[in-house]
Amino acid sequence: MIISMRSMSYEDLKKQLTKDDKIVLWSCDTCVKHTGIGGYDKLTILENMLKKDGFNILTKELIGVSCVPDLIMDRKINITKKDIFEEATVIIPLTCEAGWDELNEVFPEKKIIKVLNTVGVGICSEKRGTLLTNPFEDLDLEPDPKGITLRKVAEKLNLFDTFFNEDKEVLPVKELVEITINGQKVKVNKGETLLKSCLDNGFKVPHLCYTDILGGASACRLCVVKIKDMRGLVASCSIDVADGMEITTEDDELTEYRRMNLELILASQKHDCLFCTHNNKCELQDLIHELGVENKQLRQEETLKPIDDSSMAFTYDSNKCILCGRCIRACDEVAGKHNLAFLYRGNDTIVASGMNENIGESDCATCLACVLACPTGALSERMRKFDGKDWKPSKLYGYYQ
Amino acid sequence: MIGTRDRKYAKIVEELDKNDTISIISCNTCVRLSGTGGEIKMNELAKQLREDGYNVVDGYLITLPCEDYYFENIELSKHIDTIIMMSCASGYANASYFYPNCKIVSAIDSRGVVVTEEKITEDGEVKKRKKLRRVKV
Repeated sequence: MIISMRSMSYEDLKKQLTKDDKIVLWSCDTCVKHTGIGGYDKLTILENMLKKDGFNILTKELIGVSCVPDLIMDRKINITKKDIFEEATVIIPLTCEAGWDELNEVFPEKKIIKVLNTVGVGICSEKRGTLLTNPFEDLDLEPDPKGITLRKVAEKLNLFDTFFNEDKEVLPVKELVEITINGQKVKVNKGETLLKSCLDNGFKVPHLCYTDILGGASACRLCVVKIKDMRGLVASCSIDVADGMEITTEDDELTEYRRMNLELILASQKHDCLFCTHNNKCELQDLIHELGVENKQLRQEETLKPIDDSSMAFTYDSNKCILCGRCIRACDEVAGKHNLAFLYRGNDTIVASGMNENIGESDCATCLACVLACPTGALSERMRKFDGKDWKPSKLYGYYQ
Repeated sequence: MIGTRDRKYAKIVEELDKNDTISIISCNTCVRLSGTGGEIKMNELAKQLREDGYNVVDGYLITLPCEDYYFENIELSKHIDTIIMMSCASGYANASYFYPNCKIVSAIDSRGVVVTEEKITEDGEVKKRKKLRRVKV
């Protein structure tokens, strides 16, 4: 993993900006996220900080990897993004030096502010933290297989081992509206989806097709709620909050409806948890336990669909796919490849790659954005154990965190 | 992406003994994209070593050897005493941490990260060139 660290204070960053600048915030979703100085959450924090100080943030862009120039170019010419990039004057990348470098190549006319310095390669450990094992030759540090803590690296190289907001909470600068959730009045950000507002305020609403990064698609119909003076049940991931809204997120009818939806999802494919690499690490399984679905009332689809094992990085098993569309949106919005789409209709619907070809033969960048987004074991990393006289491969159980 | 280079086969076997009980662990991200590791390269190396009489027992393809989680998913066979790492230097360091009693042999040379270097000539012209920022190993 490439280890990068913050090289400037927030005050120094502000000095490089003017209020007339039109800023794009940019981050990778790989190394920098794991080292705690990049990814979607950090982009949001930086966006809030800069907006609070009156800077003009046009958008924040999360990309699978920034060290592949083709992916950056795809983003630049993307029909939904190109106007924003044409308008932008400044890009602030939360990427390693290779990513910063590629951004300079693709956007030579923009000011690209380097806020992170890359110091070498290292490891990411839950117990030991992020450690630098092999620093660059031009730095005054020696390699250490046990790893050097980022604090020590920061002291030695005069860098920062934290993100910008470490000492203060930064709240978004947004207009607030008051809504009532289950009889409790709460103030939420205007323009936010109802689901996000509920989750942010501690109200549990089951969901599968929604994530913070990708938003919702009303595909799973599990986040349905009741809204006063609104007909029927409403998918909370697809409706924005409005002042005075009165919402019910929990009652017997909603629970029954969600259970039935879960059973329909379960019946639509041949979910076989015993042989799934995501067993016990599956959002669908978690919801089944949470909502108390104890048996299958509906007959499960028995026809097995073929498994696409052609990619060198991951496997697609449509038998475990719940058609939430998260992988498709991740390929569009995070990878920027638009390589995945729904194909066919009704019960025959599948996620197809390229021009309905095997993933391995399509335009897949193997950035794993889709695998990260998948809530079940439909898309799983290609992890293999080889042994025996014939060096026979078998699945190695695990999942991308 | 971390740049890597194949290590010569002769150099790898120099560190091996015919009595070693070997497992090969390969990264499936940077080194696969660099063409120095991944499933195909791992299978080639295992085949070559077996043909040359080395006792290669098993092999593991994992996504990121630079993250602890993936090592925690590997259960090495009991008698393994040598691990050949097909990863960059950080994966090698992690293998040394997880298997302190094993001999760890690297099958790949870590190079570094490719960046652009800017140089201003005497005429004031800015010249750019791609440069490998090497890591110490």
